[in-house]
Amino acid sequence: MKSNDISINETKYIIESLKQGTRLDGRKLDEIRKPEVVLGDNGYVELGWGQTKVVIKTSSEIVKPFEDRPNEGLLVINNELSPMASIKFDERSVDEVMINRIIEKSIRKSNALDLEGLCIKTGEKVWLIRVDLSIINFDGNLIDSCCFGSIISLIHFKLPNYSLDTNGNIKVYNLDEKPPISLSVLHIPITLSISFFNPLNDEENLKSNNNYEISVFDATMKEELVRDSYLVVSVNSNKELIQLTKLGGIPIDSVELVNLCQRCYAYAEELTELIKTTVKRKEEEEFKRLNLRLLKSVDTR
Amino acid sequence: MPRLELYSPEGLRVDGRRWNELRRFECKINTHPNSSDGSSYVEQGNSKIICMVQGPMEPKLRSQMDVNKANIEVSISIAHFSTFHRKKRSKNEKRIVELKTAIENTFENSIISHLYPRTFIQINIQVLAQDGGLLAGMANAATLALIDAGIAMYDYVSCVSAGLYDQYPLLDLNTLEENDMSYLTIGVIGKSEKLALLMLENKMPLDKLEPVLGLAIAGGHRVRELMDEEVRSHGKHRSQRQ
Repeated sequence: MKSNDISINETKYIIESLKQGTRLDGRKLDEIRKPEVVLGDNGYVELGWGQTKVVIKTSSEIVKPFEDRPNEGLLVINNELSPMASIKFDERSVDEVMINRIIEKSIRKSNALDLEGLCIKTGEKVWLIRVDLSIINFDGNLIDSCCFGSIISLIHFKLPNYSLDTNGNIKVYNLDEKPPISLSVLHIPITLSISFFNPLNDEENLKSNNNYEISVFDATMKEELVRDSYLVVSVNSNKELIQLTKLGGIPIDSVELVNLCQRCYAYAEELTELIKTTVKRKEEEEFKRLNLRLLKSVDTR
Repeated sequence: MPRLELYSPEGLRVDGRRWNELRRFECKINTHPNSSDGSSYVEQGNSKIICMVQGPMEPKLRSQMDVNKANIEVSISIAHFSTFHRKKRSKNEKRIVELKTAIENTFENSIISHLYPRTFIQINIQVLAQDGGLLAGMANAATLALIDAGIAMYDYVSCVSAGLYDQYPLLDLNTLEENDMSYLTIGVIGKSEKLALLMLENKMPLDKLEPVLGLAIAGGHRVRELMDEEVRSHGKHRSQRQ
């Protein structure tokens, strides 16, 4: 984020209005934009988070597992910031690595996906689940939207059914031969980022006991260009913190940080509910369309 | 043999510490007076870290120049022999890039950087041995080296990790404890309760965040005192010599 392409006037305008508790798009300081989710084919998700648009596709293939983990499947999360989304992303930036790290921490390291269930034959064949994120448009808050989209896509994705014969050959069935299997997602991590703004100078922030810093949920692109620091919180509906990341920037009082985490939990419950209802509705639609009931009776498993 | 007992019913940890005790914290500043403008050596338990600071100096490239403030760059190298298993690590590994940005951003705000416009400050961190608290050790070493270089800072940035074992918060974990517990690393500014740095990578119950943070902040203040002692004694030593 080297080139700060926002004018001094605009910077001051944003901070002045934040001081009075208003934002450019009329939201409250702790209000997030309501995500719009469109589910497509197997594992395909279109997510609109305000003007930020992300398309996520999950796919699978059969590979050899790593030697040190012979009975675990693999999960690869792949995000590339193309210049299509914003001119800011013209070169491979640190942002890209940071977004990837946070998605990996919140989904892979927290064991949101049961990897052992992806094993076909120990040491030889496992499923590799690949989540590809393409950012279509950028208006702030990539981290939240990418994490949210990835987890929906994983829940929405169905693995093709397969069988092993006595010689150890794998037969993968078409989707209409045998009903596909859902991935076992153990919990739903919700990631939210909070931006901090310092309305006064550095001395006031570091030396006084007053906490004037303004915290804002779900920043837009302009707000992101102005912010002094940010915190990323991942939490699930079981009241577990999955990861916290605040990489430098202006220091924030610890009590405030704890309160923000509590606030995030409230949002996490809301968003988890949204995911569950959306996926359920889609599944019902699909069920009606394909009339899988017929096939289900054939399935002997 | 039963599983390693990380926290015994008597309240002792694997290395004999109590829950709120730091490991042996030893630091030296001005360890490499000829090769750099500021240098430090930090030992936190068995973790050993050297830090050297070059600058403020003329940037080598135009792109490294900022007209309003100093440009800070951190480079981290972790010795292959620093862990039990010898392992090659590239500088572009995602985890290292993350640590590097964390340290860069932290010090960008705690150095009074507008005093050094159009300059470049290079912080080189060399990790010799790792035994837990990697990020904490690196940030502490960087603070000391920056002080030694005479670069104006608002206050100390003191870092420490704290974890949660079952119900009990434990301070300053070593590798054995880190592998089996959820833990966070914080960076406190001076004597305040403000956090510049906060990193939690594994699951922790939301209600337990507050006690763990509280313990970590207390530990951070203790680390600050220990660093301050070293800086002052070094200063005294310097002034007597001249």
